[in-house]
Amino acid sequence: MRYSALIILACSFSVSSLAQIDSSVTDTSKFIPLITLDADDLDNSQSQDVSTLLQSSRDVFVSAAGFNFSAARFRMRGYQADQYAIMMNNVVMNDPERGSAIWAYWGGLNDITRYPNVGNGISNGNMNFGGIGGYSNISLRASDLRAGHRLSYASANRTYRNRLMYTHSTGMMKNGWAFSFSGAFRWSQEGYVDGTYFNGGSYFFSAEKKLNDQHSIGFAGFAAPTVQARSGIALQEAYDLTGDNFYNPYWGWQTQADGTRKKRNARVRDNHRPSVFLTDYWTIDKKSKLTTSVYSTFGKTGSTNLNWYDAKDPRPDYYRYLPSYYEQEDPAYAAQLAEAWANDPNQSQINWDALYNANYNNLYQLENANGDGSTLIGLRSKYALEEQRNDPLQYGLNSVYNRQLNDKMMLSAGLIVDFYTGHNYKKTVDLLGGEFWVDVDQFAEQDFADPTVGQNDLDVTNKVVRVGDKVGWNYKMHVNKQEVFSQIEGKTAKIDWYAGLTLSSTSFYREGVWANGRFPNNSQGKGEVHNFMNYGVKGGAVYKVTGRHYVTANLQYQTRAPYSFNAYVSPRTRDGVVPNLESTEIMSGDLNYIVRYPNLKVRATAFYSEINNQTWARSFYHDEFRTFINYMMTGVDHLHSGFELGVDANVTTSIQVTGAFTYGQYIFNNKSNPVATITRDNSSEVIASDRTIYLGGYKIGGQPQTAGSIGIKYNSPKYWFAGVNANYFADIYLSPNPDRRTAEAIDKYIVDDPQWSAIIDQTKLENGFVMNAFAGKSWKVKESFIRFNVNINNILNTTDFRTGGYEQLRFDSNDIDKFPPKFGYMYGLNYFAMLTYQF
Amino acid sequence: MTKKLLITGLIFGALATSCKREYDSPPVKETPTGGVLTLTQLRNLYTGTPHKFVGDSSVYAVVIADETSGNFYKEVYVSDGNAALNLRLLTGGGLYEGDSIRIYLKGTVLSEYNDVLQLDSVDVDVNVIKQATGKSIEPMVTTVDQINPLMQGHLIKLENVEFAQSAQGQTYADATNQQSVNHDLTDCNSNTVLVRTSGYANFAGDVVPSGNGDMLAIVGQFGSDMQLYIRRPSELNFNNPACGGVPPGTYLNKDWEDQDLTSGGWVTKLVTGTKNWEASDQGGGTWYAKMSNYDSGSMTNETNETWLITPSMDFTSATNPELNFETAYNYSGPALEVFISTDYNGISNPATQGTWTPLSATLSPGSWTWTPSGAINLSAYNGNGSVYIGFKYTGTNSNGSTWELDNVNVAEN
Repeated sequence: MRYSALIILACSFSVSSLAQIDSSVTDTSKFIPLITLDADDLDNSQSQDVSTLLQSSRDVFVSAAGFNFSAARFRMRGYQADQYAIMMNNVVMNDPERGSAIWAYWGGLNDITRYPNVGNGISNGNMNFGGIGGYSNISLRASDLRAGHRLSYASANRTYRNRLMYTHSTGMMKNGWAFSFSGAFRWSQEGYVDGTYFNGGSYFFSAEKKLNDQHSIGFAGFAAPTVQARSGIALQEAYDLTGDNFYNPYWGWQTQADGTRKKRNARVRDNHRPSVFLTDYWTIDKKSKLTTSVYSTFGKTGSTNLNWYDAKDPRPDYYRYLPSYYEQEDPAYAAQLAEAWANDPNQSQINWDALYNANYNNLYQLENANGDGSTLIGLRSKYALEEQRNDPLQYGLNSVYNRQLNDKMMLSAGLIVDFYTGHNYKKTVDLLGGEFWVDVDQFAEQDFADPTVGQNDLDVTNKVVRVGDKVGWNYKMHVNKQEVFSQIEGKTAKIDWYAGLTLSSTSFYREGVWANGRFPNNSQGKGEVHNFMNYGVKGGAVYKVTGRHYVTANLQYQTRAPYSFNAYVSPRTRDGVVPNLESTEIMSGDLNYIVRYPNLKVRATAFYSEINNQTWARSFYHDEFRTFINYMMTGVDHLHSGFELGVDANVTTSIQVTGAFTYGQYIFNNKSNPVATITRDNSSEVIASDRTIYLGGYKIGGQPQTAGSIGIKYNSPKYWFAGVNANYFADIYLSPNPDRRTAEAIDKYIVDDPQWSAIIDQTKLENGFVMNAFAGKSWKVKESFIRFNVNINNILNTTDFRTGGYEQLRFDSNDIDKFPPKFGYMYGLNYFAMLTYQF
Repeated sequence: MTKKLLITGLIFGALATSCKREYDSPPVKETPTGGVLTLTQLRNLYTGTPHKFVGDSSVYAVVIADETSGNFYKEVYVSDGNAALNLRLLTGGGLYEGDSIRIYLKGTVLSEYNDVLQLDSVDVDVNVIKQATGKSIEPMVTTVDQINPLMQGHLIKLENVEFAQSAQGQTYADATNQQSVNHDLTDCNSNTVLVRTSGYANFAGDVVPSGNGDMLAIVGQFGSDMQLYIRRPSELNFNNPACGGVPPGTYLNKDWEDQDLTSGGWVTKLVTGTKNWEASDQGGGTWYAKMSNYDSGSMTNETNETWLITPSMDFTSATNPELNFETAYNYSGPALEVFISTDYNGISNPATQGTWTPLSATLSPGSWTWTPSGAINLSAYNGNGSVYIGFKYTGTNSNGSTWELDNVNVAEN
């Protein structure tokens, strides 16, 4: 009884946005690098490589950058999230389909994830080969977690507004057991952005039993079930019309039974994806140990979206609903629309009542329902809410052996065997007042007189779909990987060094659950298996000039299997990968100068990386071919080079000055251009092949390539601190739409025509300046501590700083501004304040 | 202790799940009916200037033609048995043949477009309230010479009609370029009416039926021209012998005298090279299709493979179809090849898509000698709904012939 009351209480809190800056709270002296892929990027394929947040403090550059640059979507060295390995108990948690680790999957478990073992950039790691961006390894071992209780409450105005967190760890007890538990709620009725809400719970449990002096067995499990109503970015026109740079096209009002109106969001993420680990910690002898885990991840990730059939586009910011579409032909109507956009939320937001009414009215007679010859008469939904699902089932074995060979050398070796299946499908979650949906493809129906072509599931003709039924597509992606790695480290008086090697075998294939009417012969069953053998080598050395001055250098070269997410032409409808699918080639090197005095820490780094032979695949409507197409690029080469400087100086015992600066060049390599293949989405027709995409020299978009921060902090001997940071961001570009950088796109224009450069020039965003402030105080009460921290970001409340966006892939070469880019703005003043009681 | 932890964990887990917000369905928004007009009364409201409805009023009707086949776009036709009307929709979709509907007139506009009366600016989500489905309106039986502007929008039935000679062997419309096409329909007494088909119709690429019989159509008009629109090809039953000069059972007839290489739904598919088929008469006045891989500018041959492919032919009820054509050629090079396919999709590269079976034909001996192919029996392909014949030209970078092709005819013997 008491529990059910609690449940209602928790759910009525209604939550808001993701762990976007979650870890920026807490006291700054304990920061360690974290990487967050904003979960909003997950199903927005345009920006899926955007926004990793890095937070740290052991490294002078990374700490300042992670703390201050994340709001501007800064990414270390411009790398995408797949270059970092996030591990738990040595097990890599990166998504096998896409390569990136999603921090949101363990959001709210900050007490557990706060102290990982970290490597920045190319580095020695004795549990995994790691990526060129670095790694974090979080220990879930109960006896590793600091004994005690920790209770905290945080208030914020970001994606969520409240967070309640409690953690209790026993430490290793006399009876040989250790336990740890952590739980959290994060919620908001409405987040910073209109129409968003957040309901997140997090739980973690770990138990360890020491069997004898050699063996200890541990179990750990966690998940962060989250429901989040999301925000999306929009055209500048929509921001201007609504006068709000945080306009969110995803929500609208819905009238309730009692006549009141409720904000409803069409894009709600609902994840619950538990991971469990069973680990044997075996101390073989004083010099060697073997850590072996079997693990599994399962559950669901889902995100809802509107679908519609034989009806108008329900999205309020569809280009034909904007005044600009009518400006030339009907200026009076354009003005009327602009007026409605400014004042009528039924125009500027989703009009749910209208969608329901359209469904209430759509009496329909379906012949041959479910293929059984019967006739169904009822309300066929024109509009429905569907949830796109990716349900993982992953399990594997991870074993790491470490041995101290002698005083100066240590050997590490590891084995990974991993099996992954991602079940991808759509599910109808709300028929919005209608009675059924029919699972056919509208575009195929229009193009082909044969009614079987439009069937999404050939086994059930004219399938009648109700709430809870699968709809649209249904397939599984299998990714299996085996890897061995080894590393040796050595120390001498003047030089520390390491060298590592990895060998791996990756295979993936698609398994279609349904046969698709457009592709009856290659959509159902097990598809072709794609195998890749890969290897990597790395090495580095530290030269100790003196005890205070060091020079270090690192090199890494590896090949890596392509990610299945980028490899398939259109996995929703059929088997088949991009032409000439090859492994990605990664090479990277850095040179560092490090100074370590008690009162002055400096790191200066130059880096150079090439990430070659990547693939890229998207589907969108193509105006030249007047049809929905699949666009694939192979041979996408990225070049990242630049410079980093981090300084941390204690000017007096109480005044600390920090600085971070980076200048980077993250570009598509000039040496070669990608080649595109374009196929029709509805049929196997290849519309264009070997189309050269002139991307060489274009900037990789989505992050500032130049960023600087300077901060000052006062540490009082009375256990409080306060500080302020000034940050500057520059060289921010939008990722180039490949289709605008082709000979075909500029075919109609001559070089002197201003439209020529308007088509091919890259969109550069304005530079931004942001100030942050923070403060904290702690009290000791007997054996317990009370701490208070507050972070205020963007204290100048700048709301016109565009931190990113994307060029729309849809492009009309006759009207080059018809589909302008979409932009996202950095939040204005926002805060996070936390009170912690530790006992 | 352990138990306490476990229980707490479970509670947290339970708490954390299923916190999705719930919503009530909005109440049904009743659309007022107001005064009810008949379709005839509605049509009579038009007095020469557009009439916008601002008050509550409604009209009842049944949808007699919808957008499903693609022949109509953002428009449907409705009838109440006595009168009919063209509805222009703000957004396509949502209305289907047989729907019995109430049209709430507020916001719509009664206007004329090229002499056709239409109800414009109909928002299906707002202006249409469905009453029932599966209702049908009997077609009005009439004759070609009686079709007149008063029949606008009506579903009519014509008996003993056929496509005129000029339309025989042609497709309903130009599916490749998505262009509408007009064909003459005749009653054998020199009365004709236009049949107009949209290039977006999903039957646009089908060859019009030969023979004579009855059909259903919607009456349209463009200025002074009366036009008919077909709802679907299955409503044309031209099974009787034709009264005109064309023998019954002609699937295809192309002589290139219209100087258009691909009219009637033909396509070219350039697999290798840059040179392609063209319509030509070499100044002689008689037109045909021609292909050469020789570039007179550089005086070289290019490596080339290009196909000239017929429109899809329907052999579903064929009995003894035969192919005839004529060829001529000069200069040395690979021979022209003739193939047939029943699984080609009409758009893709024939070198990689479709199973193509070679056909044996008598070809020109050279020196520009026009030579009949001889009758090639195609009855082995009877029963197939989509049959294509492809003429494949091949040339190398060292030699290549000039091939000419004319009078391609596929018909029942």
